[in-house]
Amino acid sequence: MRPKHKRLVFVISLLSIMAISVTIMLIIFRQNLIYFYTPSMLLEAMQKATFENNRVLRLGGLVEPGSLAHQSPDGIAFLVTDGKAQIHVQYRGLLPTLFREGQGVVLLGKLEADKSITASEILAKHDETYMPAEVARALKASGHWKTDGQNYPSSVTPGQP
Amino acid sequence: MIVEFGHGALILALMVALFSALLPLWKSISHVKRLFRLSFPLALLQTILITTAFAALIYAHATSDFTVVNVVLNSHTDKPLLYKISGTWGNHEGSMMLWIFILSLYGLFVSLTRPLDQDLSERALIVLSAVSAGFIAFILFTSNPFTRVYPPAQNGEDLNPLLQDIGLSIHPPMLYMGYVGFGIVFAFAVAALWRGDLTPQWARIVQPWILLAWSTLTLGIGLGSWWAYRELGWGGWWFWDPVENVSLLPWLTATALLHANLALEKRGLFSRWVLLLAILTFTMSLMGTFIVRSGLITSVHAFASDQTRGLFILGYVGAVIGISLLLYARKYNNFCSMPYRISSKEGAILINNIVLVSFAFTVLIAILYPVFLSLIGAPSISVGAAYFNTIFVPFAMILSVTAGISPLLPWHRIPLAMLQRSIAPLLATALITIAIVLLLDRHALLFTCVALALSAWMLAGTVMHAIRRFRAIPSTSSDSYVKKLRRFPIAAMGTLFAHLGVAVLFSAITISSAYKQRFEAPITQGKAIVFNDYTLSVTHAEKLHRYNYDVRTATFLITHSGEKIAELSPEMRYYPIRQMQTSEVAIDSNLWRDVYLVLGEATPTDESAPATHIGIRLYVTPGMFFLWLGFGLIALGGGISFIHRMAKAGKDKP
Repeated sequence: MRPKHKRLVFVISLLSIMAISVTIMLIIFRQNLIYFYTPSMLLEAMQKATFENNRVLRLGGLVEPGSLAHQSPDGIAFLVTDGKAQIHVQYRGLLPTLFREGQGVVLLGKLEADKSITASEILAKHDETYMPAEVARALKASGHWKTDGQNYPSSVTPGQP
Repeated sequence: MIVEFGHGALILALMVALFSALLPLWKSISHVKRLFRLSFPLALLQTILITTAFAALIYAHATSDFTVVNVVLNSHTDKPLLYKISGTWGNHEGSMMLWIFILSLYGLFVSLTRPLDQDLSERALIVLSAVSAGFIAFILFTSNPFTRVYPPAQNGEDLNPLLQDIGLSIHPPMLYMGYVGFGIVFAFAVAALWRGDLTPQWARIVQPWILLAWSTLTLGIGLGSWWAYRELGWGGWWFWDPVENVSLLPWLTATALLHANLALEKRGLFSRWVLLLAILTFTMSLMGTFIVRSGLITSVHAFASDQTRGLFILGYVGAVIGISLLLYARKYNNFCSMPYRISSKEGAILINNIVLVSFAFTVLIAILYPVFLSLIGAPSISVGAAYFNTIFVPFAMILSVTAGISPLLPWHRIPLAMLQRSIAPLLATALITIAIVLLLDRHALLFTCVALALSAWMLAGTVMHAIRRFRAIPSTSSDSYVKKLRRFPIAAMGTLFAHLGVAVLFSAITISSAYKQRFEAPITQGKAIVFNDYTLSVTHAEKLHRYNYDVRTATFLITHSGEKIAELSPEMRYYPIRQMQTSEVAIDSNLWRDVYLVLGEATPTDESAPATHIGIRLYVTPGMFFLWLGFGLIALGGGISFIHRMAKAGKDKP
């Protein structure tokens, strides 16, 4: 092969390798996107489109007061609400120390066939500083925002490294 | 009074930085030569002023001066002194001060080293002053740590308890030494663009700074992981969280830069690429500094932050990147690239660069895509850890292959016989490793076998490199091994340690993730908890008060196959000032495994006592010691090279 051809082959093979790897990357990327929902957003989304079972998602809201139920051997079930809709959640394992009825909660879990969620990880957060901004926004929007911590001056917000 | 003094010093520092940056505009370039001589005294003056300001802030924190807003929001009288001081940079404003303090020290350092190229160094110092001026302006106008509050507060609101940890006291300074260090590299790159030439000498001048920044960044990332491991209580050390990813980006591009710059130094290759990488790396460092705080990204570390600073940050980063890239585009044709063969050391370095930068790119997409979606009002998403794990594996594997073989390869071109001679022992080691892994664990996953084999390949390559270097030491037959070893070239040691570190780190990551065991159970009065060969029994439980928090703790006696191995006392801490509960992990480490115990609230099984029920989570993870060792070795390698090169540069005649 002449050097010119050689270079052409090199460039073409390089480009095709890149195209293949970018495609693979995007497929993996799409499979691993985890959407955040509030209960009403999730219900709405389920009406619009069909969700495959076992889809992993994040759900944020308040633990509905009075909904916490204990199942044997050591699982629990509760409702997550944003004031407009509720979603059933079941969970087994250690709970975060601030998990209470009426508290804000963010969980990672799988969507089951019966439209309930089996949580694999639960985060309970008690004020804006320690709550993902999207949950705070969702709670504020639904009028369920409670402040029980100190209010910081609006000009200065403590950051984190 | 001292606070006002610090505030004044910071304002003066801004003046000095602006003056230094605008110096070349003052008179025509030919006259600037004389003005250039001012660069050292100006750098010194700036350092003194910024140090004064930073010291004043530390003083305010250490003495709990509650007339200062920053202290009120982040400190408390009951807090231990160490955390009062480290609390200075445990918040946004203070950490910006730390950034600028480190930048000024670097500037002084640059002006102190006897430059090989006076003109280049002075141009770089001017660029650095411009970067510095923008940053000080950012602090003064949007994040002033010296703001007073009247009337003074009774007491402070305390530092986020998660940050009250020794790991996070030293993590920010290390991380910022890395980030800011790439600012120096960036300044030299812009200086080269400004002058319009790039020589192998440039590479020699810049390499020590790359090495220093890269080593400290490695340490910074390692310390951050160590903190996450001990403090977050999830048994893991890396969560692919945006804050972590953002610190990984400059590390990846810097690792690429480190190697490409070697090719520039030795062979005069990749000049355009090196300049672009230098700009990219500093861009990533700025992103790392800012992205978390601008409120663009939510993560477990960042919680909620301020949106108002966003515009200033965007403008600043935009200016830094925009101007440098514009300059790059205009001067692009000044820099030529020379032909080279792909089958050579430079070819291996090229592959390593492509892999590192592609990996950085895939991580960057995952960071920015959710931000982009939220900007156009789409539902908020996050990218699952599975994405990063899947992407990381092939990249790490290719890197292991090139990193193992490339130190053995010569520049220019590789004779085929030599390639065969180099590959054979590495391949043999890799295959033997697979056999050993399967012998020890018949059910080992394919992934585990391959990943460990590749780590072994890399280890073998490093060892072979060491042996070859050792054999090449000129010696008489009477010389003993020890005598010969003393003359081992220090220049080669940096590469050896760093590559050894990466091999150790990769194998530790593989082993710890493949063989981690996790177990959760509620504690029941008077009953031992049994998990595989481990038995845990509570010997003692108490409640007490310490410094600024209340503690609930239990002591567990842990036995393994009937043999006592440790007594661990994990804690649940309640910080009344912040109304926050944290979990303090207890870990028993030895060379081979960590036993990691966390207290938590168990899922209540009984309706009557839902709130006070306590459970444990136990992790048994092998290889953690080697993981931290890997981080240490990588940083050590960089450090050795840095010191060696600095010493050599000191001896060179300018």
